[in-house]
Amino acid sequence: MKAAAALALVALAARALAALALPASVEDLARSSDAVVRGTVLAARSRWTADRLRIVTAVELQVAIAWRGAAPARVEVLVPGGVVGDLGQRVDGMATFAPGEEVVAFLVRPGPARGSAGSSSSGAWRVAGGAQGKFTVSGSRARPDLARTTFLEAPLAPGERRAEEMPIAELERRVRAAR
Amino acid sequence: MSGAPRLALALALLAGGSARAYVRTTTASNDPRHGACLYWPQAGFTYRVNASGFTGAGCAGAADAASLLRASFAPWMQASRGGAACSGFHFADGGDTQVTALGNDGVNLVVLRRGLCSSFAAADPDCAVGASPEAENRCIAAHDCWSHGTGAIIALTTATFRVETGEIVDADTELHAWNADARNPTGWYFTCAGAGSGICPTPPYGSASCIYIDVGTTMTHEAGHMLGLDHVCAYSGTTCDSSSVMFPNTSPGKVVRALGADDVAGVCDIYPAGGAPSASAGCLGQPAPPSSSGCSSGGAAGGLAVLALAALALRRRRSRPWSPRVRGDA
Repeated sequence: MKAAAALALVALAARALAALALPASVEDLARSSDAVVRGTVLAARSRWTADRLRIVTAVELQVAIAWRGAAPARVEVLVPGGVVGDLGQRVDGMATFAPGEEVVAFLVRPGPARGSAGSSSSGAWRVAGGAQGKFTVSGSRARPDLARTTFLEAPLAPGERRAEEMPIAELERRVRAAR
Repeated sequence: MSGAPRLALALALLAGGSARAYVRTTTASNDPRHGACLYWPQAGFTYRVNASGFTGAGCAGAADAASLLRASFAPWMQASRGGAACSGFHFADGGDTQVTALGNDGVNLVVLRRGLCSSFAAADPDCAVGASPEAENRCIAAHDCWSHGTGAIIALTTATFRVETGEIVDADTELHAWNADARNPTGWYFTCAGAGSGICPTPPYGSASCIYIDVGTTMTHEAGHMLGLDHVCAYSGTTCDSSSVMFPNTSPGKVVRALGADDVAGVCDIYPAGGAPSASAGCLGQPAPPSSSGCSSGGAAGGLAVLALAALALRRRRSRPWSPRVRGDA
C-alpha cells in the first residue's frame, strides 16, 4: 500500500514542459558515465531546497548489476523536480523514477561533498544525458522516456545507436562495448 | 502498447474533436490521459528576459537576441481562426532583468545561460559536480550558468504548478548558449537570422547572417510549452503535423516561428479570446474541478471519450504499461 501510494505520488509529479536536445547514442552515454547500472527503484523522496526555489528528488536504487564501471549495491541518485505537498515541479528532459520501476541508468559519480550546511543531498549520483540516460525495463525491452524532449536532428557516429527503445540485450551489449 | 488500449486512446482523442491534434501537458507522468491539464488561470503571465549570456555573431548582440526572444511570444497572442482573433492569452513583457536564479521565485524568467556551472568550480566550490542542490542554486545565481549537464540539452523549461488543479505558478526557460570558446565549446550557437538565410557552416562559431539554432524557433516552441501545450505526435494516437511549432523535431538551420493550425487550436481552445481559460478544453486527463470554466470540445461525444477512457482504465491492470511512440528519428 505504501509503495502504491509512493508510486501515485511520483506519478503525479510535475510534468513540465519539454526540452530541446541533441540525440545521444547509447555509446555516448556510456562513455560519459562513471557507471551504467541495471536495478530497481526502492524509493523516491522529494524535498524543497533550503531556499524553497527548487524541488529535488532523491532516488534510492538497488543495483542488480553494473554493466560498466563500478557502483555500490545501493546508490542514491538525485534528480531535479518532484512533488512536495500541493506543489509540483518538473524540469524538462530530465529522468524520472518511480518506486518499483526496473531501470537501466547511466550515472555520474558524485564529486567530493561541497557546499555549506543544508547540503544533505551532496554525494548523490546524477543521471548522465537527462531523460536519455535512464531506460525503463519492461519484459525484454528497455525504453527511455523521451516524449517530452524535442530533438535536434543530428547524425550519430557510424555504428552507434541513439538512446531509444530497444531489446535490453542490445542495450547491454552496446554499453559494454562502447569505447 | 497493445492494440485495444491504443484503439481506446485513439477513440478518446477522436471523440474530443477529430480536427484537433494538439496535446495538453498534464500533471501525470508521461501520459496525457491522466492528471490535470496545466494552464495559467489568469490566461497570461509576466516574463522577464536576461540575455546577458548571449555571445557570438549569430545575433547582433544580446539586445538583438532579447528582441527575438520577446517576439517569439507574439504568435501565440495573435492567433486567429477564420480571420478573427481567437487567443485570449497575454504574455506581459516585464523588461530586462539581471535575475539569474531558477525556480519558484515569482519571476518567470527567459534566460540565455553561458558556460557550464562546473567550469566555475575551481574558483567556486558551490559549482562542483555533485554539489548539493542548495550550492547549485547559489552557483546558478552567481554565474548565470548552465546546470543541466554537459551534453545534449539545448533549452528547457522548469515549471512549478499545483498538482490538484494543474494551475501553473512559475515557469522559467533556459537556453544553453555558446560559451564563446571555439576551441573548447560548450553550449549552442544561437542565431537570429530569419528564413531565407543560409545555414551556418559546421562548426558555426563566429558566423553571422546565417541560421544554426534559431532563437525564434526555439523560443516559440518553448512558449507553447509554457502555455501548457505538449508535443504533437509524441503519443500514440495523436496526429503528426510537421508544420506545427510543437512538432518534436527540429534541425540546424530550421526556422519555424509561425503557428500551425494545431497550435492555433490549442491556444485558442485553452485560452479563448473574451473567455476564461479552460482547464478542460482538449484535456484528455481527469475531469476538471467544478470551479473550472469551459467545456470539452467533444460536446456530446465527450461521453464516448469518457467511456473509452474508463474501458482503458479497467484494462490497465492486465495490459503492459502504455508507452508513447518515441519520435525524433533522424
